[in-house]
Amino acid sequence: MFKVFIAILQKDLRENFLSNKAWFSISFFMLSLLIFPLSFGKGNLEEQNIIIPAIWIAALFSNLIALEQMYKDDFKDGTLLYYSINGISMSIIVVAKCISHWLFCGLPIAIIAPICSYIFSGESNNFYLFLTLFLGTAILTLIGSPISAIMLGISARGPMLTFITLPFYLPTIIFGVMGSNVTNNNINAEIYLLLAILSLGIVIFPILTIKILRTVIN
Amino acid sequence: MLLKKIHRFANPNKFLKVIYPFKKISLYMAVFLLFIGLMDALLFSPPDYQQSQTVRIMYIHVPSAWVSLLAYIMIFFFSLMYIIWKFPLFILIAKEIPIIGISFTLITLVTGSLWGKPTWGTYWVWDARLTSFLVLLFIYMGLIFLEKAFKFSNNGDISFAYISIIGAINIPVIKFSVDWWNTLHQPASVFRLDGPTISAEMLIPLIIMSLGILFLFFFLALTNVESAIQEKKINSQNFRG
Amino acid sequence: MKNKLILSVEKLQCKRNNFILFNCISFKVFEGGLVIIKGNNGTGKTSLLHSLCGLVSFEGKVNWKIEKKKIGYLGHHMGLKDYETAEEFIAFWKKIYNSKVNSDKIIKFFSLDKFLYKPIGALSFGQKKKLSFARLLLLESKIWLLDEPFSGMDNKNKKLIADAIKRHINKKGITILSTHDQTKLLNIHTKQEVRIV
Repeated sequence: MFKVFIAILQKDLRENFLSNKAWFSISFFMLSLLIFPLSFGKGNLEEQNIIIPAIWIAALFSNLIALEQMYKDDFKDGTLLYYSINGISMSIIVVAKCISHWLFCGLPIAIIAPICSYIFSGESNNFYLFLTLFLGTAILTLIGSPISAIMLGISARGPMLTFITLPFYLPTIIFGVMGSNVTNNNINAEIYLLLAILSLGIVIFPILTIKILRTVIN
Repeated sequence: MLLKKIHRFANPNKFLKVIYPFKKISLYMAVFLLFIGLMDALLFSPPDYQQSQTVRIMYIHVPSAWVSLLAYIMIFFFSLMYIIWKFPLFILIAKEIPIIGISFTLITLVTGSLWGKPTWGTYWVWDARLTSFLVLLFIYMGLIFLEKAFKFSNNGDISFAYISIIGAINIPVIKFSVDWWNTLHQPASVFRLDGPTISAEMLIPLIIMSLGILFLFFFLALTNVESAIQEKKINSQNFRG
Repeated sequence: MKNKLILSVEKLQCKRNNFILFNCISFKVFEGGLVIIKGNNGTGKTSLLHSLCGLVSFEGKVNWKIEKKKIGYLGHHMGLKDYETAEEFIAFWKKIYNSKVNSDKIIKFFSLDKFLYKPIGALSFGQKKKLSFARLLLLESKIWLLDEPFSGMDNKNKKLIADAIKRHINKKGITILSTHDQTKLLNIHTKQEVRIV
């Protein structure tokens, strides 16, 4: 079973590498970061402290963009069907998909974001930004996965997916932005809350995704 | 036992007959209670010592807020029951509620902002309750769009059910997070452990109004369900013919 | 010689959107049997195959006498990725099925060696279909469920696939396939036909 999991994960990672999806979402992150300074006017970045919200919004949208592709290709060419007929458990597939999605649309953003923050605003203490993004992008992936599975049933899925998923992302955004803003606070309640949501999400959302995928395939 | 009972009413034709008297009763009750309640609220109840006459907006605002929350809870339970027992009737009911829920949410938001202007000085404040209601409005919108998008697809029912369940998991978290984010609104004053803090002269019309709006909600929901069942009948005839 | 019963189907009924697709289909398949499902478009051939693998909910009885995981199914979608090469495809499914079949034999049989290192996106439809048959052979399954295996193929490849099916049946495997055109290629004495109306 573990061997199968590794094989599927490898295939997903390769797919992300080769088909431009992953690079696209990272570059989209950088591009949307560019919009904020331009729309806020010249030289106001440090005073208004918008870099952290800007990074979070950019992370959110680059995650959303890649979300649509999560199960789409495997569903369209029937790979999911063959997995399910030959008794490969859906949980393996869902976990592999979530991990590969996060490795390409979450982790790189969490690594790049502190650097961006340093370059744009000169803020050097960015550990909390990294930590909250590290947890937050994982939550975004987990929440997105069942909704992405549901949307397989319709043809015009991109805009619908964005509209339905965004309200569910709000808690993560709120806690994430607040958690990365307080640099001198010793309590860090927001990070604990993010951890709580993450641990709940790891339990609930993959199960939901498995159930949904089973009904969608039929 | 319960399952058998549900089975008996799960037949759409039977269900139509069952709900007909309920529909009539809730219509009459709604008209009666709303009339009495509005009379009481607008003419006989005392003005607030701080907010004077504007407090009368509360008699619409608060009941419709309650009902719009109740509507989501009902969607959640019907979807859950559909996933567990797979009776198409449940999802039929659940699918008809969002459009009513969104109307009450809109009423809540509009009356709230009208009430906010004289008391807080602005139409909109980014405070916790207002924001979470705005989020609720968008979740309702999402549900309605979803239903429309899946109209020509096979698994629209199950998708709707799962989305509403994901929403139900998320709404408390959203509420909590928005509370965390900011709070300015007055704390809950009716549902409290140590009894309501609102005066009885204002509480009575409030209760009457909320019952009236509740019955109005039931009437609208039942009417929608009835028309949905009829529509489904016509569609299935088209399939055969 | 008495053959072992592998599959028995009794009074199978399938519904879609509250509309009955087919009703009361019963047949039995023994070792080395070939079942051809015939029917016009929209009569539910694919749904029948799906209900046999347990993908679609149905009423009636479908009794497999072997492990259900080992059903080899080949449908309209072939499960091929454009960016993979044929070799990677075979290696991947070999790993997934944990199979010990010699893949060189399969490559030789379907003469895949001409395009083994090409990306699948560059292959023609017939080549893709041949490649997807390789997945079936890798599974070492006794049962093949084939949905329209002959569609979009030229005569030579049709013969090749018919050959593969015959070989499979000679090894006491069973094949259930749906088609709406000729079945002259498959002249096997165990052949039985199921018509869906």
